[in-house]
Amino acid sequence: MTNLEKYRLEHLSKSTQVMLFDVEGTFLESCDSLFNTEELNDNPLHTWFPIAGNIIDTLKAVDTNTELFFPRVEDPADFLTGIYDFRFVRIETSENSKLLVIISDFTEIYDKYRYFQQQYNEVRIEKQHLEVQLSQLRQQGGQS
Amino acid sequence: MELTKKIILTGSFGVGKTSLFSRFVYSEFDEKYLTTIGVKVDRKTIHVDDTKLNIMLWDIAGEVSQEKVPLSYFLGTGGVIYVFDLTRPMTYNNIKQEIDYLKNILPEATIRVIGNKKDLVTSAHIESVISGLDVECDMTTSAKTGENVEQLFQNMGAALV
Repeated sequence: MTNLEKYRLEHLSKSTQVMLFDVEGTFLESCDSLFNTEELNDNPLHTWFPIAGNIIDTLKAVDTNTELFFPRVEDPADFLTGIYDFRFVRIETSENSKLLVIISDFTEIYDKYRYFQQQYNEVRIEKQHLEVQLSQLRQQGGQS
Repeated sequence: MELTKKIILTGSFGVGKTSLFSRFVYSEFDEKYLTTIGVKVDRKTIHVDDTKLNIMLWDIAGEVSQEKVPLSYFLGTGGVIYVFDLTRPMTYNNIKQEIDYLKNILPEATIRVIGNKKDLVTSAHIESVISGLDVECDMTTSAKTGENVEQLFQNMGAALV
């Protein structure tokens, strides 16, 4: 492994958790970068995160290696608060099909994005309310 | 019988989707507006006659146009609750276009159109808004008072069972 590859892996591993499940959602393995799977791994995937509720059925309906990408999932579980990107992929190995789940933590970046989106939305909502008031005043002026 | 269905809450920003989500799932309401930038998902079980219905409720970030919502969020959707704000015409002026888009990408889904924030307007105002819509408004709600929120999800649940 080159130094660049080593640094890249070290850097990425801090913010991304990679997990493998079988196609029925039974846990196989995890790198546990973001959260510890030890207390969860007796339960099927759909019970870990509400967003994974019908993911197995959805993955069965799409081609192998098709990545289902869900950006900006907010507070995906009680044990995982923040804002994350989720990727689900059904992969074929030499033995059988597996389900690859990749969770990336972008909470810091998305919190900044939320801050600016919040300001922007508040201004637009205020503007829309003022437009309604202006329209009402014009109607009243026209009637008098 | 037990069923699981995915229902999404969608519509423009600031119409009260997250408030409806919190009212229904947690029986809570917060006056403070906090924008959703992606999606929040949680579960709640209701009963429709003899059927136990597990609802996976997706609260999707508000967009002026539904075309801006990531298509992945719509995968596997059984029911769509399209929410507009009874106090802001910008949230329902293009409603037919938005509903047509949703019908196109989710031809099998049950769609309900909801006017929220009814606690802020008069009955006459509600009548005026609804009669001017290009689509049928299925229900008016108040996430703040809770009016019609349970009924909304019971109604949607009954349509999905």
